Amino acid sequence: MKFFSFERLTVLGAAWRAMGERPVLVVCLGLALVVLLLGKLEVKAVHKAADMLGDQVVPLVVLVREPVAWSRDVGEKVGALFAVHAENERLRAENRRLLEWQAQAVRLGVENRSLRTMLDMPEPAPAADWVSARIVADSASPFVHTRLIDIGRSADIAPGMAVMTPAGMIGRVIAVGDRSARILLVTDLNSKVPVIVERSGDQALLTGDNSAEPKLEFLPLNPRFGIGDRVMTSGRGGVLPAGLMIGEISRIEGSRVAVRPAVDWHAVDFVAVLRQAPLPPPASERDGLPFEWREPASALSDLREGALSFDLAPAPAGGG
Amino acid sequence: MSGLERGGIVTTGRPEELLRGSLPFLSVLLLIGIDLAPLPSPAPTALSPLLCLSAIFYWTVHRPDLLGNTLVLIATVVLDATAGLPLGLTATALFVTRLLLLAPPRFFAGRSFLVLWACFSLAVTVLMTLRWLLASVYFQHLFAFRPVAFELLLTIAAYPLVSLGMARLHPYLPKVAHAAPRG
Repeated sequence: MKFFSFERLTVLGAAWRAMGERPVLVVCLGLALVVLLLGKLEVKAVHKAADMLGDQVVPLVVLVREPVAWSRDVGEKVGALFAVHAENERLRAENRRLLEWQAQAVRLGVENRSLRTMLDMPEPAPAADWVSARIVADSASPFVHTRLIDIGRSADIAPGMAVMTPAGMIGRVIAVGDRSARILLVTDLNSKVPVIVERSGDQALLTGDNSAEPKLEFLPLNPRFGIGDRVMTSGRGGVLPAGLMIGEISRIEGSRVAVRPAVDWHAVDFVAVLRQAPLPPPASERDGLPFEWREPASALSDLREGALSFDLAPAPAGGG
Repeated sequence: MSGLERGGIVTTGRPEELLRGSLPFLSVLLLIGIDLAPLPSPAPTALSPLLCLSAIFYWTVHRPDLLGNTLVLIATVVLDATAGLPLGLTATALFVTRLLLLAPPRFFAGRSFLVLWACFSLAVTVLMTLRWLLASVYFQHLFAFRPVAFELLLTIAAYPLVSLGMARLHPYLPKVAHAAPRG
């Protein structure tokens, strides 16, 4: 008999079953409890196993997700047909408003550059590079607010990276497998994001509590914000970039200040993961590098304009 | 017959037989995929029925020989890992429920659908309450019970639909030789 054969598997299975129902049940319960406790004790192997399982399950979830997404899309399209006129009017109005904003943004950009030059301020940090991902799984439980996306370590995703939708930040990456990553939503009980209120400049910590509206904590003594003020990441701690839109203050009830995320949860299918640009090496160390250091933003623009090129000639064979 | 007996199923050990015998487990995995599919919802997390629990109950009652505790453990660990829950949370709640409500297979034999539905409602109520308690202890935070109750009601309501789908698989399953122990 081969070491691995169906006959051997069958015999092993029969031996396992021969133990009887209750002992097997108790063994399985013991195993589940041990795994649960090891997870609570932050044993790395358990988290790695969870990431690996997530990787393996992604194809299955994608397979199941497609028909579900298709039927949802069909329903939405049929609904949209009935609302096409109203939607057209709304888009025209939004377009007019955006054009006004665009003109204002261009004017402010010019003004900002000239003021920076006059004050001799350093250039702002280069914009983060981003990569799109599809949400493949929900947490399907009231205990955690997470999502599984279909890219992971192979796309240079790392824990801590911010995850965005067109409306604003949705959460950040907390675990990464080879082909999948888990996002912790800003509404989750364990989510804590340093934020700033746009109008008043008050700094606080946005803390999730598993409700739809996370709350602001560690507020200043005399906060000056009000309902409707926009809340953005402050960049404190250096983990998340500053200025990412999160939402607006929706309620102030005593010491509880609730923030309504700007995300349209209804339409979150795709997200963008911000891959932060690498921190530049200190100027004193740049001379010793085996290549000429270029700021990531300038290198990227050079590449786009064709000023920077790579020698793609094949490497000489042999060697070693 | 040259085949081996596998917990009451006569199997020749061929891959085809193994595949037919794995149908209940595969159906549970498929329902886990459906449970985790992102649904449109105005809230950050859509509350939906846990269909896989209905399938686990169905096969435990109708073909316990094909979905033993080991496979249930694997399926629930896959569910926890994909949902981002602590590994072993659902399995622990499920096995404690089984220990509490352990009934011999003959108890379910010949019972009407309504009785089975009532049994499922009781089992899943105990299971989800235990899961809520375990999660509260694990995260050291008393979670609101209302979303759990809503999820529970949806799961109970979805049972007839799931059992209808699972019943369609019976012609493809291996034949039972005699009453089989679970394991």
